[in-house]
Amino acid sequence: MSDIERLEQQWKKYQFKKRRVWYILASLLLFLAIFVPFGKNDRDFSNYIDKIKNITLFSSAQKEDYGVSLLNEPFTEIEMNMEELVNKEESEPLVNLPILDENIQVKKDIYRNDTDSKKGKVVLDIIQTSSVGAYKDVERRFYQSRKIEDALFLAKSYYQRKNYTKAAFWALEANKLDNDIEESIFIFVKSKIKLGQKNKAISILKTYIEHSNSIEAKNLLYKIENEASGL
Amino acid sequence: MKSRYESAKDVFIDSIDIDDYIELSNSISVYHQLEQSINKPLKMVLLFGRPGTGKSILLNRLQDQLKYQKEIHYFDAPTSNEKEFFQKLFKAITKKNLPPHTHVNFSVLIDYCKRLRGEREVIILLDEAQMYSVEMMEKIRLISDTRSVKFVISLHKTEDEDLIAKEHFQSRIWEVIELKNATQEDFSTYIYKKLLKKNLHEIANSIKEKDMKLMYQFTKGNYRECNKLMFTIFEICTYYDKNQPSKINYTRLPRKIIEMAALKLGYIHV
Repeated sequence: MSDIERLEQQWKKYQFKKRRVWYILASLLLFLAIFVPFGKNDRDFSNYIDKIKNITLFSSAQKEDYGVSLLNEPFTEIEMNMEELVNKEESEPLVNLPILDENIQVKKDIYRNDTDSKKGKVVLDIIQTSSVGAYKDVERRFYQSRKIEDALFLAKSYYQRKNYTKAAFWALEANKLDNDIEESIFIFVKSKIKLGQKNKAISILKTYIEHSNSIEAKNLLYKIENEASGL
Repeated sequence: MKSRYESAKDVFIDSIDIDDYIELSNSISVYHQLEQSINKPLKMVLLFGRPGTGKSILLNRLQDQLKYQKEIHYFDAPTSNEKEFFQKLFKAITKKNLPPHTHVNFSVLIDYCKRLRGEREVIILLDEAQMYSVEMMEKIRLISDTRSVKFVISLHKTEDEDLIAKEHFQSRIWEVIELKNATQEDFSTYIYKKLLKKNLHEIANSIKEKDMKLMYQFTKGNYRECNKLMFTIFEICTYYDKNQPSKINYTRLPRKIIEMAALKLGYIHV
């Protein structure tokens, strides 16, 4: 290997660069860990420091009791704040109904909140959350179970969130599993239109109509061809 | 004196030799899907995936396993020359060589295929089908309509899903099988099995789980990228083994060497 020396030089540079980032991150985290929980309220911080100092004035037995309650105080506050936050998120629905048109309804399915680690399956509780992580969980579950409901749910949800590329992708996944489900074709077509690929969308819809003679598909095609905007 | 790592390096030379086939969970599952699809009354089966996901070797494996039970032929490098393609196809279907200085009459070939229906079924595995022209694909589709010739078409997954979507929507009798990059588990199994197949136990044991995770991160589970990375790693090891043995740890593959290989291949940039 004629370029081994050059590679070694590059590796040294890489190591230096890697470590520099970690040093900066570590310093930042330390700073955040100490100062951010007390935020702008310097009084709370100094009170906390004073309380910590005061532990040493008590006897050992008392110290233990006082120590436990002290430690609990700030955490209890944080827990309460978290509760409020979670409650607030849960009140905002993930998907507004109806999503696409009068005929399509989103299923508000409630899944068991259970994980079966022996079988390697993950069953999710995704009742209502605005967390992006929920989408990832459903996607993960889809790849394990290949349930069409999951693919359709993702397609509709992404369409509602105006992520038309992902909506088209998931509509296609649903269609691969069952190409009799019109919903998947409609979402795919509408997503393509939103992405500016109107001609392709019309071509696909026309092909589908030739095979299926679907009245709803014909209605959709009419709407697309005649309306200037607003699907 | 030959370094022990030279044999390891050769293990990862990229090839679609059937002897190099490694059974992994995902590939076993896709193989069975393919086998079942061939037995269904489908005219065409589409196998698609990114380059380096193992499509070619899987088709090779299929042909190797079924060659005594079915009339199955593997067409590897696509010919841009239509005449050559139909000569190959003619031979596969009729079991005869085309006389010299003649060419295949397409409509006669179609009639011949129609007469075969119910008597014989010929399966053609078309690799790298994205390189065939639209006209040739149309003719292939017409031959498949005779139902005596079935095509398994392998092509690269394109960024534009419309190609697949359009084909899929146009004809409902396609079956579509997707090959994805390996999972972490399959990736590790692939490397271990490749080395153990050539009795390189010590080298296999020197690659720890953490190293596997790092290599998986670089290659994203793509088999071709994996081969490239492993080849480069062992190339560096060979050099050190011969020239600077103090830099080699025989019990554990040094992370430094993995990172150097990644730098060389462009997975890391400085």
